[in-house]
Amino acid sequence: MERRVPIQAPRSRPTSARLRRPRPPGEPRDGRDGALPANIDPQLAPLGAALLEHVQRTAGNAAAALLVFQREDDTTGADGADDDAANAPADPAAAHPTLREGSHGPAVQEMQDKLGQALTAGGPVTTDGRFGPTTSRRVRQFQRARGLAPDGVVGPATWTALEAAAAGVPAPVRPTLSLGATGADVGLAQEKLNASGQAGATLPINAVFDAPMQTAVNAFQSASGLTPPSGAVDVATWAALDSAAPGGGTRLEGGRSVEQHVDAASPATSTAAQVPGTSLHSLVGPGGITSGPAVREFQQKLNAWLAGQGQAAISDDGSWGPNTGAATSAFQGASGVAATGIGDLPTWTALDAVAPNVSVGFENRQWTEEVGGHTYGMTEGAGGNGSRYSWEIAGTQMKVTAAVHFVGGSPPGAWFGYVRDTWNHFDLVEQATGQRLPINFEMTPGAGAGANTVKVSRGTGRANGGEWFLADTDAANTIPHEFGHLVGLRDEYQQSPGDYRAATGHEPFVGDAAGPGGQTPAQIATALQAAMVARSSANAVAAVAGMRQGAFSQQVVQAYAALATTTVPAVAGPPALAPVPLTGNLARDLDAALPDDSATTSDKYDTIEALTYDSGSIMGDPSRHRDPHDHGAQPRHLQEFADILGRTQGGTWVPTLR
Amino acid sequence: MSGGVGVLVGYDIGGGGLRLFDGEHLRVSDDGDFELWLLSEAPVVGRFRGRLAAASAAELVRLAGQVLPAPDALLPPGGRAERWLAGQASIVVSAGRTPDGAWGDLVTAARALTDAMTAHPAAAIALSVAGDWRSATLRSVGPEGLAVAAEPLTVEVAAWSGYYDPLGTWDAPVGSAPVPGAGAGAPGWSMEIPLAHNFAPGPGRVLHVKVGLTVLADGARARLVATVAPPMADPEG
Repeated sequence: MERRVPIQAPRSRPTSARLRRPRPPGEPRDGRDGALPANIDPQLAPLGAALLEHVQRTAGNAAAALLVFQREDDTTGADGADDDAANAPADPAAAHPTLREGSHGPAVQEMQDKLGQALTAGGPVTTDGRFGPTTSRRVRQFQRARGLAPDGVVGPATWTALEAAAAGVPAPVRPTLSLGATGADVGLAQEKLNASGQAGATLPINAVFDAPMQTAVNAFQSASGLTPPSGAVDVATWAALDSAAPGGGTRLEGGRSVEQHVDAASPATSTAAQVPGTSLHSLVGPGGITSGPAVREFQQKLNAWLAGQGQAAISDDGSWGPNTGAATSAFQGASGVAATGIGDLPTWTALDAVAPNVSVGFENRQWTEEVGGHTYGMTEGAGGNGSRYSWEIAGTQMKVTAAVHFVGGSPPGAWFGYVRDTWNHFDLVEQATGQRLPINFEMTPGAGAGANTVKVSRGTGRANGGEWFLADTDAANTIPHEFGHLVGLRDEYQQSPGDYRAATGHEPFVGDAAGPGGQTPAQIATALQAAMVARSSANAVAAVAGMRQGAFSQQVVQAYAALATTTVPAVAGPPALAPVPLTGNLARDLDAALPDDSATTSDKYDTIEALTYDSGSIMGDPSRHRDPHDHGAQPRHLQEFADILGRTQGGTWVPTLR
Repeated sequence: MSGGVGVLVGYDIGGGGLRLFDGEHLRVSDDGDFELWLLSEAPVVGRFRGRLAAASAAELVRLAGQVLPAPDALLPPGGRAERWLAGQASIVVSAGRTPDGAWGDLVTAARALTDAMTAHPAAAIALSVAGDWRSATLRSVGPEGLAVAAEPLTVEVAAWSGYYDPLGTWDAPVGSAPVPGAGAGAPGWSMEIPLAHNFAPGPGRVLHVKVGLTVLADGARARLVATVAPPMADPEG
């Protein structure tokens, strides 16, 4: 029979009827930020670029920006504008390339960032570095507002106007903070203290200036030469914090307040950690993998050793044969490794030591993660598999492939395009030489020990690392997310503060520092514990009604940890449920004690959601947490492959937008 | 399900705990009586009750007697739990996956029986879609009826061509008019739902329709989503 699988947890929908056209693979996907059409009168008088330039030169950027901002809301004026080139000033701010629909890369990202600051309506601009139809529409909105020709092309005049607007954004006003202070500025200071690496401790981002924070401030001040330490965040301390940890706080983008990220002290580790005691290498040879990239990697390593012995190379054709077996035995004999004649773990380890340089590799990454207080993972056995993927430096690109053995049905062709659309926008750049190598990802049908097994199911449901649904209307996002798991990436939703920091490389955001009002964190924590004892997901979600991720919810997490623990009693059933001793870890306790979500309710999910952290990236939950600056595939997701390149080819490589 | 009789076999996807009908839910008692709740992903959703054929019940008894306590499975990233019961033993697997060994035999047999169970609606809602795709019909099936909450129905339509190539989606609430005769749980009602999308039937095209409504049963609320989702021909058979 057809297996009936629950649909995904419901997501908010508009209340009016609507038609939506799917995005075909290959079509630019920018602008999922809810951008609105320009609401500016297209007959606006032009703000002459020459005038703007004059103001900028004589009165400074701030004055120019003020003029620009005033003009955006102006609904009167003279007529039409020339095209962008004609509007260009004599001395264009022209280190910038002219950008238009189809452009991509860091310059587009910079332009989108400035555009978001310059626009006063329509919402944030997604800074994805891809100039698609939505970006074009927002550029025209900006051009109309400034009297530039609304051609959607960002040439010198538009660049000048954008820079003027961005430069005119006033510096934030930071209050002096001391023990007992609360609010978003306290949260910002906590982010920066953590990110500085000089505060002696990692603070929860709870927006409460408590004793531990005061200790951290003192430590930071001492380390920064701000002596004697005052324990208060004053003007000098803010300056030192801004210098040590730039970013953070909120700014208006497209008329909406958008919180900016603070980079954590350590970079992201988006790739999931290997389960201790397991190896990325697979057994190759008889009894293991006998063809494909794993064998080829092994052959290349053998050849590196053979070359050092002055011996002829074997073919690195990726097919295990007598010559590979003989070379393996020879290597094992010379290296003191047990003479098994196959590529077992000891042999791999010995080969890795003598032959790091290869152009192809295969990894079988077994890993676990905690999401929403529950442990998930991709490991071998019990019908599951690790993340199995290969990489190859082929000519002018690095290619990463995840072969998938689809069972239960055939995958729609569109799925393969969704993977390419999401993931293939990056280069790897060597830091010393500037050498660039495009990196591209591919999902291919496959079988055998080198392939991942994915069940293809009819209908809709909550996709996971091992099961995808044919009638998933959000497959353009779902499939690239699940593909991320196949190449070893961890989730970035419902994370603890520490896991969020590690996965994204960002300090946990301040978010909602005030809470919904009417209840203290301690009262909410108590209500949540009572809901667990009653095993009522409905009561739990009611307790967090109106709460959003951020500092206030972390106060609830802390208040819960301070409660006396208890044990949730057993349920006779059916089904019989074992007692659950509560631990003080709120997400884990909620996960263990509450009934799971059904096909049509998501009370448990929504409760935990409010108490954890999401990113807006493809590995996060962009449907619940939209982030114009962290969405889709991000460079951090590719760092593992940059590191592979460094290990095998030398140099220090970093991923960057293409 | 009969009171006072032990659980022979059952499963819960999601749900469980104190909300009997929360999620997909099956209980088969020692005497072969069954109760199945399906909440979504089927054209007929709701409560199904009946008694298994003696041979089927005997086979379940045999298979249930062979299972041993087993550790819960590690769920894949994003996976949902499916808890199976056999007497006092239980096992958690990733939803839709079949465990190894004796548990796998039992799960396979029990899943196969649910098809036959859905022929015995006790209090269920059935959805059908007109051939021209312009309307759908919702009707009460089974002798018991279901009390439907006076809340707007939700309608979601997805159109596909070829082999799950998306043409687009459409959704709308259907107003708050009460389902005829349903408030008190009386059986036998039906209502027509207009579908005001712009998708047209054609060769190789398929329409999937979901209608959601809230029902009241056993003193609590449950959301049912009746689904008509014809499969599309697999190009590889």
